[in-house]
Amino acid sequence: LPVEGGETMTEQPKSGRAIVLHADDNVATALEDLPKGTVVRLPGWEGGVTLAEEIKFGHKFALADLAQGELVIKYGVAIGKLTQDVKIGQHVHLHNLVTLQWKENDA
Amino acid sequence: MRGYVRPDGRIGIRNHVAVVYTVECARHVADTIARSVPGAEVFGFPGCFADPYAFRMLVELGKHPNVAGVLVVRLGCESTDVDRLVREIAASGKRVEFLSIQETGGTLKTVERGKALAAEMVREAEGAPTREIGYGDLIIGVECGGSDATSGLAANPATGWAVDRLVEMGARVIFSELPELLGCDDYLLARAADETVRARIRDGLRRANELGNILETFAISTGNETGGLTTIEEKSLGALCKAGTKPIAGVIRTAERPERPGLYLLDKVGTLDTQRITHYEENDSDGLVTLIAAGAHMILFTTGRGNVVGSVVSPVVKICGNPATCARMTDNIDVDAGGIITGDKTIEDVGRDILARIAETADGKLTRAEQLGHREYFIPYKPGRACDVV
Repeated sequence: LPVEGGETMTEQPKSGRAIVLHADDNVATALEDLPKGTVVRLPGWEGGVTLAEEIKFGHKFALADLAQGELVIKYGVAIGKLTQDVKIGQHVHLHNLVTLQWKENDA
Repeated sequence: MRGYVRPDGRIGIRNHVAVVYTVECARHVADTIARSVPGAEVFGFPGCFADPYAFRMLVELGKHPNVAGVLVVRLGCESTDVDRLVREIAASGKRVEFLSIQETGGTLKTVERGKALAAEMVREAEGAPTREIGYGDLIIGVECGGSDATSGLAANPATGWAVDRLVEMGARVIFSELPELLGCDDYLLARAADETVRARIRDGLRRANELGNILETFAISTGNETGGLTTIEEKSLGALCKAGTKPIAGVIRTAERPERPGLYLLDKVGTLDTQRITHYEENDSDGLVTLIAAGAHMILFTTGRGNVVGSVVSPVVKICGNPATCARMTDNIDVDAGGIITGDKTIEDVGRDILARIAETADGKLTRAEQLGHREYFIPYKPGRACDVV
């Protein structure tokens, strides 16, 4: 049966390109549009990271299971904190990440 | 690589004769002189009323070690203190000549005298002493323009890798664009080499923040968000990463020069009030002029959408991380960082390409912008308090 994205169950998972900008980072950035189910091979991630959802070029996904309140690290620096739990391979963006710059986010 | 040794001991990587006009009325004469004499380049300030910022830019560009000699062309009645300009440039020990169009007797006579002087100075420049130089002799500026979603992933990180190596080899590297670094405050402060530098960064960030509030320019746009950027920290870090990861050795103000090896922040945000606000940087050429006035021999200019500008005194090396732009604007791009996006190259691979291109450029190989005749400069009025230059 066809599944979401038009792929079939028998198809091998596709591999895709992403970049980790610093060894301390807990997110990677997609270097091309990556469909759900793509396996991203990254040095240090045995077997790769399987994407839980579609990740467009330039967008971020988690490199580990992360908890609500945890800092998101990119370039080796905190770029914000999570407003909900995020599983490895999930999209990290406006729906679950907020800046550390505004007071209301400290609550 | 070999550099030119100037009378004040500074090292140059170009050997230009500069023809400098001190008011728009003198521009055509200066342009005509420079166009007729290969090796001569023209820049100037169009305003008739004296401006402290523009005056410092003319002085520092004139004294710049990429310039072998200077011919100042004035109309005669502009209020800029041209005698002082000549005196301050001549303090560098290089030859400075001066023509007043009114006293010389108009356009034709001034062009004729000017061409003879410029040609003579170009001949003299060819005899300038040279010596072997290394990366540690260089002052490098970093700047970005026409950024896109690839900038923070390819061109900027690769440039940052090269900047770290440059600093390790004893070069002086200058980055600026403080108002674009909002949200990186804690990270910038943590990178200060000492408490004095930390206090100066904090002070600069405060003024940059005021400027942002007045101009209402600080935000992450819908386009940024669609491109995958979530927070202002992330956007700012994407720009900041072109300055590498080394400690910030010092903060310099407009027209100051870093004296020792290391990474420097050029803070050109003045004390602000709403009556005398100016745009902090009118365009990319304005930004390049301030880096060159801070002594930059060469600029590393990162782009994604593509940019074509060069600069009149110091070569501009274009580094582009967008593979489509690199393919489309092949005439303009010196270093193709698109391989990072396509998975063919690492950040370090492109960083090494950048270092190689720096060495070639320092040794005299023309950048794409130089080959194509790009010699932009932009020296606007900047109200005193907005640039804090006296």
